[in-house]
Amino acid sequence: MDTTKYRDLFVSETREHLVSLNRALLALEKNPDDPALLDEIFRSMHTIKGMAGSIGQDQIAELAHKAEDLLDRLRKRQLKLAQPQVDAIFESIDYLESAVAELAAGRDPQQSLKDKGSGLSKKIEALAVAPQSSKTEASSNVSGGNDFSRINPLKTADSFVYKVRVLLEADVALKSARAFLVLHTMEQFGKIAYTVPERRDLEAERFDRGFSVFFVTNLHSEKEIKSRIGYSEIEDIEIEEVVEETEEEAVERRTVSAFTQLAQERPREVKVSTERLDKLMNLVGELVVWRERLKQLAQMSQNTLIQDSVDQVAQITSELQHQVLASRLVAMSEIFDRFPRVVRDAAKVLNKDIDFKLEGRELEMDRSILQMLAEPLVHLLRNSVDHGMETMVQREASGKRKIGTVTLSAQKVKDQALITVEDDGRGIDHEMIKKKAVEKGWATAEQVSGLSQKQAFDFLARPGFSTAEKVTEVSGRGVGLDVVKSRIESMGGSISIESTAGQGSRFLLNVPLSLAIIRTLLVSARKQVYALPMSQVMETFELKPENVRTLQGKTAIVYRSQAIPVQRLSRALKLETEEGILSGPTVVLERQGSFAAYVIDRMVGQQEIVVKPLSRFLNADKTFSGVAISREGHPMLIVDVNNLET
Amino acid sequence: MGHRVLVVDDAIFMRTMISDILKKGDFEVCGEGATGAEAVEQYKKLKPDLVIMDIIMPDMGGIEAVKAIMQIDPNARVLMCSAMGQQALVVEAIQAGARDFVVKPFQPSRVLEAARRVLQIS
Repeated sequence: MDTTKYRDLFVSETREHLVSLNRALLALEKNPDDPALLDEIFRSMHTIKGMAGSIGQDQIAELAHKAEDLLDRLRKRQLKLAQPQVDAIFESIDYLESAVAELAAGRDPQQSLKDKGSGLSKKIEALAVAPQSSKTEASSNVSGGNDFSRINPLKTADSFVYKVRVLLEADVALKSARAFLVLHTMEQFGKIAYTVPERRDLEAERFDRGFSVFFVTNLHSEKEIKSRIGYSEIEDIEIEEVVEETEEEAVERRTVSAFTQLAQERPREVKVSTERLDKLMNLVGELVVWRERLKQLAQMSQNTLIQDSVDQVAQITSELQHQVLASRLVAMSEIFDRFPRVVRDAAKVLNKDIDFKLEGRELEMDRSILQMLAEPLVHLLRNSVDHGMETMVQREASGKRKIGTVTLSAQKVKDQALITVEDDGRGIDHEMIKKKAVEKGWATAEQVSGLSQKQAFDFLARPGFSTAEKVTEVSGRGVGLDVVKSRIESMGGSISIESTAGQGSRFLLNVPLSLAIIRTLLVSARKQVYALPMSQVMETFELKPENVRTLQGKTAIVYRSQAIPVQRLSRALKLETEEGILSGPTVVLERQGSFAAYVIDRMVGQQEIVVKPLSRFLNADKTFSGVAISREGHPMLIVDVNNLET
Repeated sequence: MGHRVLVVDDAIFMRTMISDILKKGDFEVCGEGATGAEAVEQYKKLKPDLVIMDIIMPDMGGIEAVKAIMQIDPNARVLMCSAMGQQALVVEAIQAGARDFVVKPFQPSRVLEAARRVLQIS
C-alpha cells in the first residue's frame, strides 16, 4: 500500500474540514443555539476520526473521538454550551492543524506531539462528563486575558492601565528582592492591580526571569514609566496600555489569536546540528588558547589599558566557553532510558529474572562522550546479565534471592563522571583468571601467584580472553571487554573491575564529563613541556634525596602514610634510561585509586587546554592522550596518566 | 566631572575593591567609612552624590544608616551591597529608601551599571 499517497490525501482533506470547523465554531460562539452549526462541527470531527483511524494515526483519531463525544452530548442537550467547551474545541482544532502540518512535513505527530495530544484528549473527556464548570463565572470577568475585576476598582477618571512586562537578566542574584525593588518603585507613582505570577510567588522566588505587572497610573507615557523603573540587572521592559475590550472585540481577538499566536510564539528550543556544535566548540577552543596567549602578552606589556581590555575579553571568552560547553550537555537519560529494554530482552532470552535499577539519569555530560559510551555500556550490561548473573536454579541453590539485581548508575566525581555497572551475580574468580592467563601463555604460574586481584582482573580486558563456558546468543563468546577498555581509554577515561566471588561484580568507568577543554599542570622534562590533567594531579612538592627509599629494588617515597613508587618523569616517558637524580620538584599523580610520584625538571604553570587527538601512529604505546598548543604557540603532549609507567 | 561616592563597608578588602571598580568607571571616591555611624557622619560632612553601603556592619547596620541618611537628606541616593541569601534585609533596605542593590561577589560591570542607574547617568 502506498502510504504516502494516503497520507497526502488525508492531509489535504483534513485541512478542508479544519477550515469549515473553524468557521462553524466561530459562528456557534455567536449563535450558541443554532443546532445546524453543532451538527456541522460534529460531522467534520466524525469524518476526521474515521480517516485518521484508517491511516494508523490513533492519537488524532482518539482526540477527534473525544471531541465527537463532547459535541454529541451538546447536540443532545445533555450539556449546555459554555466557553470552556468552545475553547477546548478550538484547542483541538489547533492541535489537529499542527498534527496535520507534522504529517505533511513527513514527521509523525504521534511522536512529536504525543504529550500535547493525550493531554488534550483527557481535558476534553473531562469536559464531556463535568456539568458546568465553576470556572466559567470567574473567567467571564477576564477580558483579553486580563482580569479587570482586579483592575477596575483602582481606576480613576484620569488614570491609565498598563501591562508592564519585566524580564530580569539571566543570572540575577536575589531575584525576589529585585522584583520587590521594581514593584516598590512602581508604587511610588501608581497602583498595582496584580502581578503574574502572583505577588506571593514573586516573593517566594517562584518565577523564572519574567513577570508582568498590571498597573494603574496617572502617567500617560510609556517612555516615562520605563525610565522610572529602569533598574540595573533588568534585561528588558515591555509596556503596553491595556483597555477593557467589548464583546465584539473578544470574538475578534479569538479569531485572530490562533494565527498571531503561531506567529509570535517564540520557540523555546531550536534544533542545531551536532556538526555546528562541534565547529563552535573548536572555535571556542582556539579562542581559549589565544586568550591565554593574549593574557601573557598583556602582562608583559605592562600597559594597564591593554590589560583591562584583555581582562574583559578573557571574561567574555570564559562565559562563551561555558555556554558553548553547556549547550553540548545532554542528560544521561538520553542513552540510559534505552537500557531497561536491553536488560529485559537479554534476561528473557536467558530465562533469568532481573531487577534492573537506573541511577543518575539526570547527570549531564557532553553529547559526544555520551554517544561513545552507549556501546560499551550495552556490552557491560549484557555481560552482567549473561555471564555475571547465575541461572535461577543456581541462585536458589546458593541461597540467593531468585531475582538478580543489575544496577547502572552515574554520578559526578570531581569533573568526571563515574559510571558503574553492578550485579549481584556469581562474581569473578580471580584464581580462574590467573589459571587461564597461564594457559594462554601470557604469564608463568610463578608470575601470576604474586598478582593482586586487581592486577588479575587486567587479564580480563586482554584481547582473546574468555571464561564463559559456552557461546550464548546474548553476548557471544565473551570477547569485547578489551574493546570496551580501549573505547573508554580513547575518550580519556579508565575502567576498573571489582568483584567478590559469589557475591557480584562491579565495573567502574571514569570518563570526562566534557571532552574538549581540560585544566592541566604544565611541567617540563628534558626541556620539553608536557601537560598533566589537573584531575589526576594530587600534589606537588620539593623532593629531598633523604626521603627516597628503596623497597624491593624499587625507589619509593612515603605519601599519605603509604609507600608509592617514584621516578623521573623523563624516564617514565622513556626519554632516558638512566634513573637520574631523585630530588627536586615532584608531582604525585593518581590513577584509578593508586598513586605514583614523578620528579620533573620544573613546574611551568597551569593552563586550560583544548585537547586534540593524536594519530594512532604517533601514539602506539598510549603514553599520551592528545596534543595541545601552549601559550607560546608550541605543540605539547598531554600525558595519559593511566598508561604512564610506574 | 566624576560623581562623588562615599564607600561604606566594614572590610577594608571590600572598600578597596569597590573603590577600584568605581575609579575605573570614572567616579570619584570622596570618602570611606567602616560602620553605619561613620556613614551618617561622613554623609553630613561630604554630601556625596552616592553612597555605596554594606547591609551588615558593626555599630549601626546598613539599614539603620539608610534610615538616618534619608532623614538628613530625603533625596539621598544609596546603593546597598548584599550577600547572597539576604533577600529579606534587601527588601527592608529598599523600604527604608535604598535605591538599588548589588550582590556579592561583585561583577565590576554590575556595580558600575547600578551606580550609573541610581545617579541617572547613562
